[in-house]
Amino acid sequence: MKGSRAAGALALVLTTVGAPGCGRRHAAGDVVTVTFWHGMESGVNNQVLEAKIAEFHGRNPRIRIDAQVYGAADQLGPKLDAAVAGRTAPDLLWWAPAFFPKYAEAGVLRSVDDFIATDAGFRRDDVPGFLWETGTYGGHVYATPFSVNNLALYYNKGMFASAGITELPGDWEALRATSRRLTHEGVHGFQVPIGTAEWTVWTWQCFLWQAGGEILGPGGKAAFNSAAGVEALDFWRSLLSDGAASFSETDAGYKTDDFLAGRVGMVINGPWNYPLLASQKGVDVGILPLPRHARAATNSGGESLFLFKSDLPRERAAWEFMKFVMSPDFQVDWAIQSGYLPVSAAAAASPRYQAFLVENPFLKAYNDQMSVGRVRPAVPQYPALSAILGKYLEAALYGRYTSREALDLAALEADRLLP
Amino acid sequence: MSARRAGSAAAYLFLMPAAVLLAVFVLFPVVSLLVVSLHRWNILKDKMTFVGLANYEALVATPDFWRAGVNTLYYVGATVPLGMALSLALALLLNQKIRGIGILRTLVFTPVVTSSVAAGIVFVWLLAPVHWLQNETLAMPAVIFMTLWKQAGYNMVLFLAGLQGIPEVYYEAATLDGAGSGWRSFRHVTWPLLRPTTFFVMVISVIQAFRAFEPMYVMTRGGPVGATTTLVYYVFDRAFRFGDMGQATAASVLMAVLVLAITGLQMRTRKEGTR
Repeated sequence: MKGSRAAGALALVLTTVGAPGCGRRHAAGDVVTVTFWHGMESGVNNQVLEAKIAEFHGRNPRIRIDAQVYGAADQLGPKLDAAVAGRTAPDLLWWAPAFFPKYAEAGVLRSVDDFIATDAGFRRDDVPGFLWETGTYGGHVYATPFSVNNLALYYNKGMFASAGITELPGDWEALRATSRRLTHEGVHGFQVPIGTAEWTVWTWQCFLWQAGGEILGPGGKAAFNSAAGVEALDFWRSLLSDGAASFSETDAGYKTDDFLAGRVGMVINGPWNYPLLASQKGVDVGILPLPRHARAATNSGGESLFLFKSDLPRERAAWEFMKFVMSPDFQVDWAIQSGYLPVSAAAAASPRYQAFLVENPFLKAYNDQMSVGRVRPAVPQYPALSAILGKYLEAALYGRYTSREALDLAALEADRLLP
Repeated sequence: MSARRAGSAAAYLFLMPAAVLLAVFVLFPVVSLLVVSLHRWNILKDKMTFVGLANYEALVATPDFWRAGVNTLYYVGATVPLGMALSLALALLLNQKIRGIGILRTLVFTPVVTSSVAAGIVFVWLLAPVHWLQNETLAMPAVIFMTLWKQAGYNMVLFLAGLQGIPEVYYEAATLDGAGSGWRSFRHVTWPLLRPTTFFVMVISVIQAFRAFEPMYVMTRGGPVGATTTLVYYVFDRAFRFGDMGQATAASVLMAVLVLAITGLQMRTRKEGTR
């Protein structure tokens, strides 16, 4: 009896402790599964992506792309850090290239240099040079472009018409005047993104550049606390103190709710909402380049695919998908259906895409702005730099500091991290 | 092997699953938390640098940390008494034999079983037109309001159980003694006899309030300008947005000390109360 009780206990222990170990996934046959995390929130874009992945599966029967949505891209940092530390990072990750150097520096990304060099079927020069630069750290390419975008101004055509505005704002002063004219009971002309996350930071950077400023100086230290930085931040603050602008939802300046509900006349946003805007009937959406000041500038973002280290078969399979994504075939379909801008020169120049742009002035405006697009610095400290800048931009917008004080404090904190 | 030894071996084996789970999920994290708080560590890399008490020193010199402490006390100080008063009032109202009482109780309980995240998002939408969550003064009351709405039903059920455990004879005796059935019977019968329940509700409310995270994460992200950054949120922000594991763990250790002290205080008042 005693013996059987001990055996029973042992069996219990073994089943409890042993169970988690049984969950290991085995590759079925010689099919290689590539885990792919992305943050496309729009239903339409997800459908388009699924269709393209199915097409990839058809051409590559030995590779399976396991696509998983991770939610809002602005909130990915904590999840990814935890996944990397827990050794459960994906094989491929879709995220803004500004964030990859941190992981490259930590040694968890795999460079695609050798794939590019040895893959005879791949044409590197079809992708513009500046896009390769956004994926390069320490002389090696770790991230390949998926799509490009930039920021422009959405405006509510109906609201402009009823306010009798016929001249569209092209610079800061005109933006201010237009915002004032649009503002009345419950409606603001413009929306200032609020919150401490990247959205606030990367929209503000456009204004910093427009005023003639830079994020980092030639020595790699903070340079945003310049006269231009103060001017850019003062401009946002003055729109708020005028009452001509409202705050966005906290850390969600990318949401279109206030704009589509008619609560704001103009918002800064990207081309990716194209399918959403096309499917709604409430607001007649117009598009404007971002206003210029000392110069015209927009923040060119987009997403790249980061390749995480695993084993050669999986890395090679992932490269096949990266290559497929950069191909003109994928890029034309993707750009036309999702509104993202193509990363392939051949795709951008293709008659099909050009004809599409003629019919879609909304996307053409973004394409036209590419020439004044600038990119965030590719440094491993960028995520922390963004968090610091976000914190002080918000504090200044709430009047806790003057623009000068806020930017100097942010620069002081940032310089402690920067090499 | 003697029967006795075999018996205790079996006992230890039966205890093992729980012991292993406790060791892995409670003991190990607590110890490693203390260890990490003495280091500078980037979680993407395995290497840790020992820095002694530097994280604690940096932390107490940071105004944001103290602000998070004050915010935590604000949140706890508001949600616990208000939540208890609200749920007791609801319990008294719904402790009656009237038609449809089951439906009413279910309605009040519904927010409890709603996901905090879903509820938080709905509150964000509700408050969007008035911009409460973007207002430094009103953001915390808005978060507190959502917490009260969400938790009142749970504490109400506890109070209902307490109320129904009070024998009817006390009320009869009180009526005979002339206490009536209103405020005086509540003051002299219900309140004293409900004391164990009240204490229990207070203890769990305090603990819940200290560890609250979802309302701030979903509704305000600790903002605006840190107005709703409580200690738990501060720890999260330090660890995962700024990548500063050392200071984040040091902050959790200090927070644990605070919670221990407050719980100790509660236990003492409880003992004195029952004496």
